[in-house]
Amino acid sequence: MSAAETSWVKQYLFSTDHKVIGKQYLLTGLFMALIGGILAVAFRTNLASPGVLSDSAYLRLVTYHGSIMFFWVAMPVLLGGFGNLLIPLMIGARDMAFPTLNMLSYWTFVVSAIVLILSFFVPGGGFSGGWTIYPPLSAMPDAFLGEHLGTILFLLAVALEFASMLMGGVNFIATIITMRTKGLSFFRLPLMIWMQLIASVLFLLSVTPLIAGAFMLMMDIFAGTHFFTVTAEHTGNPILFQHLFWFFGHPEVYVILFPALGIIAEIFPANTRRPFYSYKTLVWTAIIAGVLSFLVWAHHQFVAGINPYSAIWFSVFTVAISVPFSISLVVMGLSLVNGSIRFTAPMVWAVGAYAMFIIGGLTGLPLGAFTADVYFHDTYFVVAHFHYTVFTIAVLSAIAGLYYWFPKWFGRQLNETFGKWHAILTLIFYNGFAFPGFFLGLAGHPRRYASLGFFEYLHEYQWVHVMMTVSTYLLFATQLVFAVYFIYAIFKGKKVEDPNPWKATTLEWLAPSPPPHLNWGNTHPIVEHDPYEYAVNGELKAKGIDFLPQGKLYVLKKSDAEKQEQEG
Amino acid sequence: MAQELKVELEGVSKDAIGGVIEQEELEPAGAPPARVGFWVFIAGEVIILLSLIASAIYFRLTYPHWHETSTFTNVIISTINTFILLTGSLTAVLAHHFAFADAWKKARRFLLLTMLCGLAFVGMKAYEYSLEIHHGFYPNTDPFWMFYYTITGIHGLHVFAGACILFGVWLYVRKTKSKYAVENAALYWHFVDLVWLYIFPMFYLT
Amino acid sequence: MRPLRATDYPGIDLSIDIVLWGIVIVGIFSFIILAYGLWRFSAKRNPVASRTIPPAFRRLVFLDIAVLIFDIVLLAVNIYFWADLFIENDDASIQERAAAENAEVVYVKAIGRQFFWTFLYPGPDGQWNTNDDIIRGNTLVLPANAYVAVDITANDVLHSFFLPNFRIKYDAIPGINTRVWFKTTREGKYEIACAELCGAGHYKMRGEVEVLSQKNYQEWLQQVSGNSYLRYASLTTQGESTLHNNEQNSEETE
Ligand SMILES: [Cu+2]
Ligand SMILES: [Cu+2]
Repeated sequence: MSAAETSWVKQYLFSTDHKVIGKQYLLTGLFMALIGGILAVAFRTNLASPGVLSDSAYLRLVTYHGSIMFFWVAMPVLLGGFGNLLIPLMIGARDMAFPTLNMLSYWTFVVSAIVLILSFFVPGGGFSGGWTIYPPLSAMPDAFLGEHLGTILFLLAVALEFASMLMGGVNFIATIITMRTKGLSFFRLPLMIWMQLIASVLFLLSVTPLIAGAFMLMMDIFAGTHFFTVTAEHTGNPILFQHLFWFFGHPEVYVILFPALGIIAEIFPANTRRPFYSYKTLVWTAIIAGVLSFLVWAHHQFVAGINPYSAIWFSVFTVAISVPFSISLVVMGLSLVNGSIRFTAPMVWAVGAYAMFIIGGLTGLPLGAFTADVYFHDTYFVVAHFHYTVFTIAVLSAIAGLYYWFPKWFGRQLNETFGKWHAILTLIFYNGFAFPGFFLGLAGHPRRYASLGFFEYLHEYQWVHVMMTVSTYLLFATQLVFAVYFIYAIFKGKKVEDPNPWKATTLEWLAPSPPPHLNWGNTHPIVEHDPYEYAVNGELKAKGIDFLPQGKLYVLKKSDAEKQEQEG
Repeated sequence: MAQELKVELEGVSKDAIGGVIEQEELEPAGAPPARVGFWVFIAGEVIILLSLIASAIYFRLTYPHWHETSTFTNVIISTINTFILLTGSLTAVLAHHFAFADAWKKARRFLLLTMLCGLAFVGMKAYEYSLEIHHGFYPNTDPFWMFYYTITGIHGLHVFAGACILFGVWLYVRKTKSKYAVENAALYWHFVDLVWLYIFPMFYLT
Repeated sequence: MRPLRATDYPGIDLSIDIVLWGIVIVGIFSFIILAYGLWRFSAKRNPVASRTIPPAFRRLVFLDIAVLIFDIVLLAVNIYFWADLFIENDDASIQERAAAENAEVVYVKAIGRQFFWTFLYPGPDGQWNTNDDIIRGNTLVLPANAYVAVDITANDVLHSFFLPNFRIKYDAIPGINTRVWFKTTREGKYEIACAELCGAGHYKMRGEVEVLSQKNYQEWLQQVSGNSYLRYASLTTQGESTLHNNEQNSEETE
């Protein structure tokens, strides 16, 4: 079936092609990021000059900002977008294992986004109980928040989003396990694929208990049960929800963190021109961190009524998780040594993301060390810490990946100088809005405060909020310019000639840019080498080539039946 | 020969081409994707139900009247339901067996029988609910009934979904003769059955 | 940066200092190395990459070992003070601590509600459920140089009892009673913030701690206990009744 024969709807709207679906996810995620950004700008305005928003409007915006950035930006972009666009190409497959399920996953996601946006505009307004949805606040919306319909639609939207990502996750796991091309053993997988696999498994194992918890929460709202609510006669257990939520919540951060690390792990070797110091260490530390991530959830609840003895173990495991991550960051850093670093736009972004991950990782320690966390819990220190991880994941790493794979996906170029300036400005404004948060946290500024005006001990820090807000404006403006340029470049950018502009080794660079439907035409890639064979010696070096592609394309011989068909 | 070597892929560099290969050499050696995907899906379902059951146990430890309340559940109907589910499992196994033996007529007949078991279970369960509500036991009565309705309700939905899947597969395999569709439908049924074998003692036999 | 410390109990501040200095040092060190590496191995200075790594750099693996040692020290300190604060927080342990320093022990119950705190004292006789019990809204009056044991609960949604000047924080949870203790040292007025989202008025949920001299405190106690016409036993709201039940339970077990 050629492109001309298929209708526009089938080709672009309800396509089952992994590349189209990936791009759909990417653009939808970009659109949602715009909404999330506007929300941030709005509530930061309120923090700089209190009174712009009403109290509940402030909380509503904060709630939607957090949920959107997590579930409707980071996940669809890093898993839905990058996962779909890269997995089949990097493992030498023609599509995902279940293309129809893939399409269903995307459209469920679209419906979830529509429901979410609707929930904001229904009478009573959207849900304003924070992205953590803690009951009893969320379980009795009539009593405490006064937004019954908004709460229900919000929960429905989250449920649909989970369903969509679960469909995607099942697809990713099945594809990576069963559809790898000949020669591509597990320990030859590009790190991005490993990270997508680990992330999908983590998501599947962690979101399912939360689905159970969400179901109980719905029962509390609709059937009047008392799973999480407490009245004089009925004693539910609000802490149980927190356990179910954070059993999901902590691994969930890694669900988006790992693909982000995967992006950095692809960009680094291609731009340092040398292989990783230790590829296997990177794989194993990710797996160990993934396993540990299931043992640390209650570090979000140290002062929330958990058993003080079990708190010790949660703190020990949390601090222990810094070990695999520090190893993995050191190994990545060591891979720069003796490299010949080319500061291309994606590399500048990746280095920026790497540096910010160091800050994000280190500032997790004061929160994981439970006695220090007594003071830091639920202050701006937490806000600053998770922005250093989540913003780095969802914005810095994702944009690094966009600059890197843009020529492959769209067959066009993004301007290098533009990319570098974009990176530098983003890093400056990002630190301008996020870093002061550590000082506010140290000053004991609780999070989710519409204004600090009611507390004398915080009065002197109003100027810090003003500074953070100004940085947020500038940061948002920078991204807005990028978004416009990005859309422009998709349609009007300069065409790329070379299918492998970065001289990278992994399989996707063998395909034409952009790859056709079913990716490989009448050829098929076969893997013959490890994924990052840079700085090769011997014959190639003599010819002036410093890299060895992971595989080669082999032309498929036509079978007898096909030959006859052609003749007849 | 030259014809065969022509690369029908525009825009790749010549260096990327390694040679010619027979189609047969490429067949992936791994498990069929449908099987892997479905096991992953079942794993997710199992964790959802395990979390609910774990939550119930957590509440039960602190609720002193759990045992007393549980004596009000209807053991007769639930025992019959257990047999219905087990019968369904047997017919599902037979359907799977005949599908892999390429006896499609028989396989489809057993699929239909399994589906009928599912519908019978759901019907009985609905009747049981009506009796309980008639006696004044509501989901918000106490922690026992809260979990009873939630967990058996979710399970009932799964049985109903299983019946729908079986019907869908019954239609689907008529033309496609897809063994894996039958295998996955049977697998789903076994999962639903197994969950019931946890729920049954938990709410009826304590 | 931290607000004025109003207690001479060093535990939480010490934990914070250790971890912050640790991460600042490791962080600055990492950034210097990263910057050097990026400069030294840029394509301009090092046009041809090589697969080997000079031994000097391989020693950076020690950075991981440094992190590990730091982790262990950090945990040891944290566990020590955590046990102090949240494991040995029963009446007997607190009294023991107070006796060693010749300090008084004050028992208080704190109930969070949208959007204010209610504090209950056993009154001058030190017994709960008697006529001289004291109930106060939003201001916690305490003597200086005393150990304060606060039992926290809530009667609508979650709140969090946060005393920035005493570095203490704990959630107020409906249906559950939690205990924190802290030591008062300096006289003065301090603030109580709510640190768990509890609704639209969360950021306005301000309470006060007033630490009086021993003499003034006794005067205050006498003065209010007579006027305290409201007793929590007569309140019908759930938080108190839960508190009441827990109270009875603990009496039964004793
Ligand atoms: Cu966490
Ligand atoms: Cu609050």
